[in-house]
Amino acid sequence: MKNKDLKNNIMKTIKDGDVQMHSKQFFLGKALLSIVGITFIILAILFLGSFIVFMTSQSSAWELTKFGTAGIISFITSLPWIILGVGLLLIGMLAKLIQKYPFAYHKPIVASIAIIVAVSVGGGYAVAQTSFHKNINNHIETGKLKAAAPLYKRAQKHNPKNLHAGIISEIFEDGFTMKTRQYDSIHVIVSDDTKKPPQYEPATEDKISVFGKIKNEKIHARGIKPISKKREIKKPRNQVKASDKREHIKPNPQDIRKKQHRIRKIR
Amino acid sequence: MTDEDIAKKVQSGDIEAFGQLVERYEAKMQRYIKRFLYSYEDAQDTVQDVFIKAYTNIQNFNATRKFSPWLYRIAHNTSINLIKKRGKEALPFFDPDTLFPHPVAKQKTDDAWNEQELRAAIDSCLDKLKPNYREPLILYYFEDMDYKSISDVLHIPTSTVGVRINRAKKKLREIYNKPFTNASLREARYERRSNL
Repeated sequence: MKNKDLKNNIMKTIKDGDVQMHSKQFFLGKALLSIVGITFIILAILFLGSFIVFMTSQSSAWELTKFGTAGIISFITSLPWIILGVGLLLIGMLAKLIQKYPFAYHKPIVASIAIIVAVSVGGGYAVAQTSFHKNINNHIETGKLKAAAPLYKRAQKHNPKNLHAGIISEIFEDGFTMKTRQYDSIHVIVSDDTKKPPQYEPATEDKISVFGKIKNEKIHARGIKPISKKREIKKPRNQVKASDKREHIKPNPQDIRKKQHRIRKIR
Repeated sequence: MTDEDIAKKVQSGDIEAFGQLVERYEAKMQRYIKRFLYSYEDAQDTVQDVFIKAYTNIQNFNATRKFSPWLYRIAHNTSINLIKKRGKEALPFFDPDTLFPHPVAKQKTDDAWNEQELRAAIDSCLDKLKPNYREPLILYYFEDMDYKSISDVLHIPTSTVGVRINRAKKKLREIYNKPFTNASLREARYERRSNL
């Protein structure tokens, strides 16, 4: 009797219109919204991942990993931890969002997170190899994409701790002097403890990366490594001379026309 | 006619067909919810809520999949919401069991425990088990679901289902702290009945 009551109550509630069946479109909309959200988070993770790779390669921070344990520790501390934190937060959000799908909840959360991290690192690295970030950076240099400017300016200012890249200007008995992004001349002391590639002897005009603490414009090098000659050693943004900047500014066609008009008038 | 066929009919607008689904599942839902929410006065209302929610969300049901785990999932969510609302029992915000992979425990009848004795023991000790251990035991021993179906209802990995069932059984052993005898079970049952 009680069971019959339950069925009758339910059917009465439905027939009276007290409850309405959600339409298929409602669920399609929800699914679409969920997919859009997930896609957006995946793209954001890929963007941040590739940006970190771009940032560290711009500042040559990867070079640190070639100087042993101390170098790796220095590399880890020089990582952009705020951006990395935001990325990890998004990875956590994504892992939580996909938990409603069988492909995710059938696996332990750690497995889902490991897959997301692997895809983010691989995808981020792949995106960083394209000209995507360089193009955005170029747009920012010409005054476009102002919203992204603070992030990319941060990338340009990123300076890995204890890593100095420069060009050797003079060789001495105890080492050499080199010209870096920040210093016109800095003395590098090379000792027996300095790690360097076997059979490498520094020579003038060599592009080189030096790992070691700077004190009184001297670096007691813990490691030195030659850099490929093709690789550009950029000047920091605040040290670019006005004359250098002028080279990058394209002349305005209107200005050229006005100038030509003025010359014709004088003639 | 299968449950999925009836669900399809409801999706295409046949409201009366939903009555058939209610008839087929009301006993199962009452049994499951009464055990899971054994100490909750509003367990009976929850059964009705489950069917109402199933009706409003029926368009979200994928008829190529099984209807039963879908309905049990709604029952699980509704029950969990009630437990949270009442605040009588603590639900873990995060379950570490779902974090790491576990070796999948084989589904088999327990040699040390007689199946019937075990069912009776679970029935009499439900109040001493946490909801996250209570539920897989109910689904496995009383609703005759396999690990895969339980995993679909609870949205946890299959290996975690095995871990929870094993831990719940271990907990049961600790509660009893002695081998099951018909006398101890009778005693436990009597105690539970008198509590109800």
